Amino acid sequence: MEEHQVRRLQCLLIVSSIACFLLLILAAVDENVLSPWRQHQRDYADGLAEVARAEGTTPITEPIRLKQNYLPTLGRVDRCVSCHLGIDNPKAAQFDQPLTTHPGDLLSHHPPDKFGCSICHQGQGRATVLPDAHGLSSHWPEPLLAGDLVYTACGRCHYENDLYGGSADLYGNARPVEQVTQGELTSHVPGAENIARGKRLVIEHGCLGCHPYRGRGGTLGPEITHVGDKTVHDFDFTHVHGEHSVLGWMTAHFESPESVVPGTLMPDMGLSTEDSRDLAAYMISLKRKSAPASYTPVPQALDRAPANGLDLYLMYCSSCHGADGVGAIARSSQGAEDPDLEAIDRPRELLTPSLRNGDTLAVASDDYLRYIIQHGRSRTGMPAWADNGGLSPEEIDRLVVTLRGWQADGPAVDSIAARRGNPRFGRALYRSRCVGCHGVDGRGGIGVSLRSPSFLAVASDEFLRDAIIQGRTNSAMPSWTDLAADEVSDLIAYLRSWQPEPPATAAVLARLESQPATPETLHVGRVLYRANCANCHGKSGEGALGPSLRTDEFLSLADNVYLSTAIVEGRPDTAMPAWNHLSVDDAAALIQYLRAWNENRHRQLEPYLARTDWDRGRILFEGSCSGCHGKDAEGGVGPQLANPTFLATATDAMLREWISFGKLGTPMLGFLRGQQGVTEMTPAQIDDVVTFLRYQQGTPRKVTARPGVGIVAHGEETYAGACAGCHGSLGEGGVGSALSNPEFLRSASDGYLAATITLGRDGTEMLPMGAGLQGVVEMNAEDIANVVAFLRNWEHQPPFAGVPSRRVMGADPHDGKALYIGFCAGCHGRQGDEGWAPELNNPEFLEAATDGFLQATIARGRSGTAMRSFGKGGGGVAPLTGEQIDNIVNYMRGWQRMSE
Amino acid sequence: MPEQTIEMAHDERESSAGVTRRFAENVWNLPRTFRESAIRHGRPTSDRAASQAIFTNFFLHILPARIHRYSLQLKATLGLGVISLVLFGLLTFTGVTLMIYYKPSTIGAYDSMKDIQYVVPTGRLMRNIHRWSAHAMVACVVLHMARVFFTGAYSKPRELNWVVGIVLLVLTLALSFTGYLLPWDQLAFWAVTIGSAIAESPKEVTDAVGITSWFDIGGMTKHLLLGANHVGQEALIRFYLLHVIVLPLVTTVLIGLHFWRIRKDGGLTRPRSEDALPDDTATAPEAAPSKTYGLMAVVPGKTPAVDRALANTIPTWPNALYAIGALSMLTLAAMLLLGYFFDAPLAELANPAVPENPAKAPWYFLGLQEMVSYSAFMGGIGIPTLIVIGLCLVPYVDRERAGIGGWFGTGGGKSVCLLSGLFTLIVTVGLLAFTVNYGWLRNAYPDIQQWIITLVNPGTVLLVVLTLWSAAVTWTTNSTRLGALALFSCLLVGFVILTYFATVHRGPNWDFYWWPSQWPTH
Repeated sequence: MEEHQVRRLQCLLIVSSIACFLLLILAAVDENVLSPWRQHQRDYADGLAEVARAEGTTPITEPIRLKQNYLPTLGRVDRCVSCHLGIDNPKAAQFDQPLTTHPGDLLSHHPPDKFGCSICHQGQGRATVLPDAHGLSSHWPEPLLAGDLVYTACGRCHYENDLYGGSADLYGNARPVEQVTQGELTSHVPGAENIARGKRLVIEHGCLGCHPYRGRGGTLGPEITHVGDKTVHDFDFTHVHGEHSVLGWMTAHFESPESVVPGTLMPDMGLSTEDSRDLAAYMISLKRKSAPASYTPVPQALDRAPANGLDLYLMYCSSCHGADGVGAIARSSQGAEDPDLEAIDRPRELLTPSLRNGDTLAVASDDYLRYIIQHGRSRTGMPAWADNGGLSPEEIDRLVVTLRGWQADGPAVDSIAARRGNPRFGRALYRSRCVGCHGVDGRGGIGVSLRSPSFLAVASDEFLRDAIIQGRTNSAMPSWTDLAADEVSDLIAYLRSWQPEPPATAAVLARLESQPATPETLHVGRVLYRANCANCHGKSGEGALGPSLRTDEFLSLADNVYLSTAIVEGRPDTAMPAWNHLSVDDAAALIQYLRAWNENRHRQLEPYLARTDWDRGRILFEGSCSGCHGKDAEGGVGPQLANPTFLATATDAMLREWISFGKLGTPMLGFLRGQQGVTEMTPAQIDDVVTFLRYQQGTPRKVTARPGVGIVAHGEETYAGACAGCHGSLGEGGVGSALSNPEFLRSASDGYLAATITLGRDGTEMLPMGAGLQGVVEMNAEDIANVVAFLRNWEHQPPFAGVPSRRVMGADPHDGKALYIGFCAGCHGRQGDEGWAPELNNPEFLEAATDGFLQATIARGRSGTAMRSFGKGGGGVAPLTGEQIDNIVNYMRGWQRMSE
Repeated sequence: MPEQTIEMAHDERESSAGVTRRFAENVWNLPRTFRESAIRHGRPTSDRAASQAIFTNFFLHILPARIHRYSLQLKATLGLGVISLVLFGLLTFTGVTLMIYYKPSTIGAYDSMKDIQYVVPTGRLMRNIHRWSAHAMVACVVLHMARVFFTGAYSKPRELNWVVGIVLLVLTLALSFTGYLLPWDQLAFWAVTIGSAIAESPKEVTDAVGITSWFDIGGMTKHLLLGANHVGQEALIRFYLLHVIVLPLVTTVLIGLHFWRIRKDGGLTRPRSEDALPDDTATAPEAAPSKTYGLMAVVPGKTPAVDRALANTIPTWPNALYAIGALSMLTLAAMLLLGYFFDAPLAELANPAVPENPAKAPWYFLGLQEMVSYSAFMGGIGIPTLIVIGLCLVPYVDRERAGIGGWFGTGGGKSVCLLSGLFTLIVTVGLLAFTVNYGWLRNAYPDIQQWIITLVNPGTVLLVVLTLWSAAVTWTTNSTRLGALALFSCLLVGFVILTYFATVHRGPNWDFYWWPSQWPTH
């Protein structure tokens, strides 16, 4: 080989060898001298030396070496402490990063030698160079958390940040069996304010309405239970303009869902950037508990009170039904504050009905609300919260209570009376609200006949007032809680205006004075007595349902004022109606007939006013009288003593006389000593009792229930035979009204029931049942008492729970179909399941809604929504008659029958 | 030295008092005697001594005592074989150091890689060198194969060495592939998943023939590779075993065979013109110091040549050693440079639940992966097998000896190669463009049988076209050598184009993209 070639090769060899050598030296120096972490340790040592110099102590020097926290239980090795040297050294508080002390006292609870650093701060613990150590290179899924974002990592061990149900993780259940507690909703790791804000945002914006968490919540969106465990690979960043991290995606998504995920169902919640960031941080904090049990602190004792209904509503319902409960229809562009906001073309199933609607709540009973919440509405966006949604029965009850709370309370009832109302105003109210169901003439339709004289004679003002304000649950009678007190008085006054003008007591008295009894008048009186009074007072006045009229004690003491008032005004809330259709002559004749029984004997008593100790009297009354007359003198076996008209006309002298000597021939015995009565009272004691009775004159009305009178089992038989055909075997109604209705039974006294059964209701199909009145059935007083007892029993033992079964029997289904297609199909769809209005042909809806609900809704509509009133008086599209509405309801029920 | 020993024996018998002095002398002479026992002959000063230095050395005697001067020229071999060997050595050394810390368990592998990267002294450097040397070695052995082919160094008597070389190529690829899994990151996991799916691809054929139920060669192969139905701990251990013991051992033995055959086949190939007897003589021979009969040199002719050097050869010591040394240190310097400045990639921890999309094989397999996308069996097994077998058969099919030793031979070899390259470029790009725009048979006939696709797909079409081209060249030029040159050039260019295409223009779901920046961000 040529010399120069060899030289060239030698040169090449030497040069490349030197190059190798230099590179090795370079690598060695770089690793052993120039590493950034070594420089940091030198700086740290210098800093400590300076501090020691200032303090006058000797610094502790450590050799420069790699430091780490080796944590096999966590599967981590954290070398952060090779650079972050001063985290647990208070002397380093003034140094710059990375040498400075860790802020706060978190390290006292989380010592680095047990926890390391990366379990909270993330980043790549095994790395020793930046940016790898901070996890900011693209291949590390856990980038470093800075600032308050560190709190999102608490969820790896702590339960406080979770929404609820942390114990479920501990005990391995999929769905927490306990109710959501108030403490869980407000808890957060101390110091994590952004997490707390985010949690509150979740509750207020109702995320759980679509997104399930720990098995509870809606089903339209993805589950969020451990959404914080997702990495950047689980998200599509095509439309995200900010940082490409999980936090960035979420923040952009919450600010404007549509722009990040085109075509999403998620509505724009109007969150600001800060709120979006807090919410995103909260979402990221929802992590699986990935540390061993020894690292997980026991969940502290939190407020174990169950979450209140309003929080439950906000969490689960408000995203669809609105935080204000007004629903989504009202939120279209027609009502939006921002006129530039286009109406989003929402899928049909997301148009949610308004809940905070007076008409809805007036007609929807608690049973209806509960049923719909429990079972949802299939094929719509309303989930079945009892099964799929994961709410417990108690929570659903609390939700119903919250919804009910949106209903107006109703006026104060004390001031309502017919005499205070103006019938002209009442007529206007009646024409606008009541006419659709009760008819222009008050003779009824969907609703009962109000104009029936016997009804108005027996129904007291209080009965009418309660019926109007409370409504009848699960029937078509809404609860008109939005009326003011004087409006109710006006209505009652108008109803009373249908009653004939009663004969004035003064006129009757004058007539009695002027014209003595003649055989003709006595005959008239007897006819009248036989026709009207004999059913309750007995053929010869000996008493049956009503008290005996024939006793001498009674007739000799009761003056004409007493008798006239009792006849003309009746005893409100007892079975004694107000016989105000009698003319003056008739009333006088009747009184004369009565007087003929004791041959017009009359005794005058000294005037006397009882003014002794009423409290003593109460005790005496309770001991001696209440057995027959009721604890509050509301009546029982004996007549109602705490009755306004009775006490208005019975003087204290009469009372004292009757108590002392009783009424011979009746169970009322004399109570004065020596009268061989049950008890022996002194005159002073009798004075006390009379004072007590007088004291009852001002007390408010109580509904009389007379326990112990009538046998329930017999009443059941009689009812089944005579009443069930129209009123339903369980009192759920049919042609006749619903008798087992709780509001009805609460406000109808036994006397009301007895009188109605006896006298029937003129002008309706309710015929008189009393003997001798040419009714369908002739019931004697005993039968009637039994039936009343049976009806009363329903108040204590309701015959069915929840929604009663059907009652409307429409006459013409074809008419119903034609009407439906004409009036309803435009919004609700030809088959009731299309269109933009709520789905009617929906199994859960039809199951939960009673016929009354449907009738009332059609008749009244829902103010504030697109559902107009279709009955008369509502100013709606077309005034349908009650019959037509019944036909439509019947047609709708046909859908239910078909699906069954 | 025997004389000294005999003298020493006399002394012993003479005086026992001098034993202490003798002992001290021996200890004092220890460095010299030790050096002399190890280095017997000292620096060579003559050609004969130079031969002796090579010949009697355990490590060096794989080299010939004298080497042809042509062989040391860069243009002869480009030094690629030496570089490949040096890289292999470097890989072995860095590999063993990595083995100190690497843990072949699915739980520990990734973390041990991180520790090597950040904490182990020189860990980063060792790992990077290992990675870049692996890539370089694959490239170098391919280039070495190309050099051998283009210089016709496969012809008789070197056919077997060519076959051994092909086997070594396959082994190199296997070593690279088995090592690819060991970091246990997403890149590794999914690349091996795809590889195992390719191993299972004979199922395509057995399904078509209907014999899968009793002879599922595809499934068996995959199970053999993975030790399970999925890529997991078993696969990791098997690949580790292959990578650190089995394949290196086999490779070492075959490298030994490869060198042995070079020696026995008469050294590195050189053009006939280089073998002509020159009129010069190199150096004058020296008298042998004693009567030995070691074989020092061979000269052409029938009688032993005395006082005459081998024509055109030069002593290996020191010339070849300088050449080899320089090449080695250059290679080492290059790898050190790469290793210091560029970190080997390490993606996220392997996650069977999150597939990479696209999951790409290492670069040297990407051309194959492109063909696998047309037909798993053909692209993964069929075509590579055909190519390997074809390459092995070349020396037996092309027996022409004209122009051996020089590049491209004589008689238009260079132009044939260039033309073939151009032809391949046009055909490959055209075929790819067609497939990207119009799809293939299944787009037009959705119900077409799979075996038709297996037989007729862009990969097989390309192979057939290129084969036909080389057949045409053979026939028109009347030369198997030119035909072979044409075929090899076609395959080389095709390989490069397909590799480039699959690297740059294939994105998620193996869809066509002009640039990676257009991939949809996930």
